Amino acid sequence: MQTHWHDLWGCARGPVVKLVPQARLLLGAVAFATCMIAPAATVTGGLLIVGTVAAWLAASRPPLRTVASFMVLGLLLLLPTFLLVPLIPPGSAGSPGGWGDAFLPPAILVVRGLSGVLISMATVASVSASSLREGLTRLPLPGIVSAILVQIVHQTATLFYETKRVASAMAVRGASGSGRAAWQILWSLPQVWLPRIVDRADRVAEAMELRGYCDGETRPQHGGRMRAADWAMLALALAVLGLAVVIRVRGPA
Amino acid sequence: MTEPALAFRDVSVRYEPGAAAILSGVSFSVAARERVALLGLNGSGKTTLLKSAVGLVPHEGEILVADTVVARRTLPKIRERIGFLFNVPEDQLLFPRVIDDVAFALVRQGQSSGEASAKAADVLNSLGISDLAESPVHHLSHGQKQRVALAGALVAQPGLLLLDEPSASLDPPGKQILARLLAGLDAAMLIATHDIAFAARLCTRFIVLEQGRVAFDGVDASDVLRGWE
Repeated sequence: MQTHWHDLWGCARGPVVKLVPQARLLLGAVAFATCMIAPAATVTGGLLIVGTVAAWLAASRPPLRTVASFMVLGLLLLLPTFLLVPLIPPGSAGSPGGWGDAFLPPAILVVRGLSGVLISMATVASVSASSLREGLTRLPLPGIVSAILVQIVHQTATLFYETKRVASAMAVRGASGSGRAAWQILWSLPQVWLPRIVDRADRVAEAMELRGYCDGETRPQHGGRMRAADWAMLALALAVLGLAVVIRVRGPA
Repeated sequence: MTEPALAFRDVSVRYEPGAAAILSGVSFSVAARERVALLGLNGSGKTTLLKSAVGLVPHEGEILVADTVVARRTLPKIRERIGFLFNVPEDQLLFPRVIDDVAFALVRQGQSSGEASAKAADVLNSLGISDLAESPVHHLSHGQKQRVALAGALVAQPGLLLLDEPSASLDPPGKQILARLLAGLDAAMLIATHDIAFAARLCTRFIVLEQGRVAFDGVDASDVLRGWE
């Protein structure tokens, strides 16, 4: 998969990018919740999940190649759950007997998992790394929570690029070959890599402390407030979430 | 007589009780607007000395920044007065976009985002990297990260600059721009460096650390430096 960490942020070009960042984050969260709550084993619930994913993808419009990459990634991660089918006793899914019922739990996992992956990807694609910070600081979250969330995203990107550099160094120094040299490098990697990450975490913590990153109020003071269009989209998303809850509570018709 | 911008009085640092001292009995002061080079071999305690001045490592003895003793309760006030450059600049870049990172110190002081960004853009311009303002920090080279981190330290116009290897990774024009820029500032500076030429161009006083002790403090460090060769 050639999608790079930093390239994913803010790559979407759909109408949702015109909304303020906090609205985009909230919409992504509500769409995610809808997919997790709607009963995936019923036709109505399944349609609601598929419709929600399709609507969110259409609204954010990430590049098709990225959607395809994440779909493949999701399927690679989730399809192996079907290997558990022979181990599931008949009737354990809540209905009596038959191999067909044994396929239901992994199928539900795949539907929910894939919808979660795609909605998360589209949400990430709809906010740039800078607007993520702006959006989070405008949400009613404690300052320390949004500061740490932003830092987790930022440092993950740092580690991602550092890992690429280490991989290049490993390749140059013989890990991509075969034989003893490759094994020596691979074997010593955790012993070198883990202390390095811990050291880096210490140094970043020092810098955060020194620069007052988690102190006081750094919430933006002007602009970026929710407008009518943001509220309207949020109301629509909440209505869909409400529908998912109703379908779930009422059970299959 | 004006008070020093920074003063160390019999300062010792050990990371754990009973462990060997990284710094032992260090005493010197840096006057307002004075530019002092802190020289020494690897492991001589230069970085630890800088960190002790901002309370990142525990110390014995007394450290004063202007008239304030460095202690837990005074740290927020002290850190606002100091611009600090770490020796691994990547570690202190806390925002994904260059302009956001540089503007942070001003936003923290309560300035509006627009005002802070405009001032940050000025500092980036003075360091010759105005074209990087909108760049993601992950796309920068090591030398560019160094300059961005330095811009973040300079933007709030602190009265004291503690710079750990500021010229490392800079190309020759970059070093010249940096030396000119720093020489034009009113701030006092303590600059830990191995770059003797850079230090000689910028600083008027040299302090040499050897095994955590001050081995030389004067205006001509050439004898000590000859000893390293």
